[in-house]
Amino acid sequence: MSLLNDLTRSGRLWSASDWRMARIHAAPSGYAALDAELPGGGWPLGAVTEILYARPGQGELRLLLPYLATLSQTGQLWQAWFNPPNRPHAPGLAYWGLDLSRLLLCQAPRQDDLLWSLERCLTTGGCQAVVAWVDRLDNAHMRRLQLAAESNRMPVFLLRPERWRDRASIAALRLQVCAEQADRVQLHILKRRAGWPLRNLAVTVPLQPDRVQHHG
Amino acid sequence: MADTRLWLYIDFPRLALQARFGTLESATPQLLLNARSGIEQCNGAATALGVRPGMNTATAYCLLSDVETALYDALAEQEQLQRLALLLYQACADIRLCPPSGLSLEIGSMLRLYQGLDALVGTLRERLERSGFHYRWACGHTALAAQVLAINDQPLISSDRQRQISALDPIAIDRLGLDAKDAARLKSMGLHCYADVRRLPRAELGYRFGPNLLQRLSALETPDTLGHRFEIPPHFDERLELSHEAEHSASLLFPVKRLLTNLEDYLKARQCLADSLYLRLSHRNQPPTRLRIQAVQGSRSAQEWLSLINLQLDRLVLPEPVLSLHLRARRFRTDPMPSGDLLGTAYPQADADRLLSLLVSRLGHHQVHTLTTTADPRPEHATRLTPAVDRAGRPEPSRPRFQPLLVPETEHRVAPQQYQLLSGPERIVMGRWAQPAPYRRDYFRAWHPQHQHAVWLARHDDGHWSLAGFFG
Repeated sequence: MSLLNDLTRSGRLWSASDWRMARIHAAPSGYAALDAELPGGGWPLGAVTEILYARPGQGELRLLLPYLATLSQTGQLWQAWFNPPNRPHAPGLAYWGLDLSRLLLCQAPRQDDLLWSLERCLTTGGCQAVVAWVDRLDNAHMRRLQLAAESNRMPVFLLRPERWRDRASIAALRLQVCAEQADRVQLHILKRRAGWPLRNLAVTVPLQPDRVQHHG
Repeated sequence: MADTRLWLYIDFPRLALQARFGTLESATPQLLLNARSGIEQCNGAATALGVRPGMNTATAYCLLSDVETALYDALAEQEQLQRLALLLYQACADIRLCPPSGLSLEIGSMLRLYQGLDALVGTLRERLERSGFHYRWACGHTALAAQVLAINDQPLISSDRQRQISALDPIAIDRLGLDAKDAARLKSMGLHCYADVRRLPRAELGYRFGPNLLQRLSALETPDTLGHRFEIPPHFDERLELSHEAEHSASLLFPVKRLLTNLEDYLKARQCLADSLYLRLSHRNQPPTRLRIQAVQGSRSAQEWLSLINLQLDRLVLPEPVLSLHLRARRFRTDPMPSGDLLGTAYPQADADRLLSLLVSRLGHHQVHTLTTTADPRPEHATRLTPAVDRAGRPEPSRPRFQPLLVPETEHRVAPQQYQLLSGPERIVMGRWAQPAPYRRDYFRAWHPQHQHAVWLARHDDGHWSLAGFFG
């Protein structure tokens, strides 16, 4: 029975009637509509989250920013961003309340460098969150990342092109972003712990942060 | 007040040999030849076969079948002597270099600190054994007496003045370091050891032999210093000639480790940390390969530096085999007390610094940046990327603006009719005084219904439109 209890508690095993009971370490994303559907009530800590999007500007980063900004205000650890496809714009990021002095921007053009660096970020204890724009990533590597994230309770966000949607993935949470309007997205939760896939979750992601809510 | 000075002389009879061939005892005879084709130094295996320093090379070759030889390098020997002095500097404050191969330590003043000669000698012995260098030593009531005893293999370790004085007595006349002619004349007079000379009236000796002999004898008896005082050099700067050409960067790790161990000793003696190292790999024809290794917040440990260097060597393709290594450290910082919570063992800042050092070593100095905002109103100049290791310690002012999150690296022209404009225009103008070409653009937030993304568009003065950013 204890194995069953353990598995249930960590969200690896869940029953349809009480899936919201699973205890998953998570932090609020800043979007109430999204939090309601995410196991644990927010972005999972200690897991890989995959966000699939078609092109920049669809809200893929705006989804993360309220959480990343809040996180950056705490502690002295780095927030490492790997291989952004365009240059991050400091005034725009600062507008969301992101503490730029915590942001570490890394370019790792070679795949093995990237994986090595991601793993170091997760295991050395010098990082609070990792965001990486990656394309191809094979399952063995993904699994290593997932295990490293799990054992160090670190959130890892992988921003990937939409075409990887139908490939199997080890990530604990997979979301596909489809923009509907400039400030409104339809999210498809392709995979989540302690829950089944969900389509067409409408979330409002404004172009500028909701100042009252996050910085009041 | 009684003179409490006590001298310890340490002689390294195989200093140059071990500096050249390494400190491990080899079963193959090793010879160090000097310019006059004589044997300068030889190892234990050669001694066992009958070779002695000072012997003619031809004679030595008659005794040995298999042998490794090298030329005596006085400079390398001096550098090694400095290194050994550095090693002992942590245990003893007053060290004097006595080239070519000796160190004279004034230990009388250290005895109170160590509460006795045994503890001090124990500390020194441990350090010397760790270095692996062959040594012999002796205490003396004068620096010169200690030297004479040490060179004559009289390992006297005692603070008893009477024993020190009497230990000199049986030393043969020609081993006292006297002028060879004087020594021969004394010998022919039937004086064979120091005791015989000591008893003679000095005035008579001076009359027959001149002042040189008297000076030498009085130096043996009255305290005086030898050599010049050792001081820690202001920079760390060391070369290492490889005994074999290294073709692969992996084979450099072991020699690099040797240099790093020296660096660690140096930093310990200076009680500071190094924050960047420069490693130069010299080749035969190609220009040298240079590496810069950085540890954020500085480091001292050879192990930590080695792991950082390893990351760079891993990716290094050598244009040519490496002949020698040159390691330099010029910037140091004082060793800060670890700041963190008093109870726990977590030092978040240290973890963050260590991660940064690792990333910089693996990815390169110019691939890891921090971002700051600038005062420039032009969006393409509003972000400054600074290599993360060079970032200023002070907090930078943050200049938030309602602008996109990502900016394209190159300009893309777009057709505005494909977009729905959401807001704007927001005009950004910069006067002619600020830059040669006038800058005036109108910015619009826009939505592309087909591509479904939120972007920032710029209308230029000449009427064309470009993509200025993405709202992430």
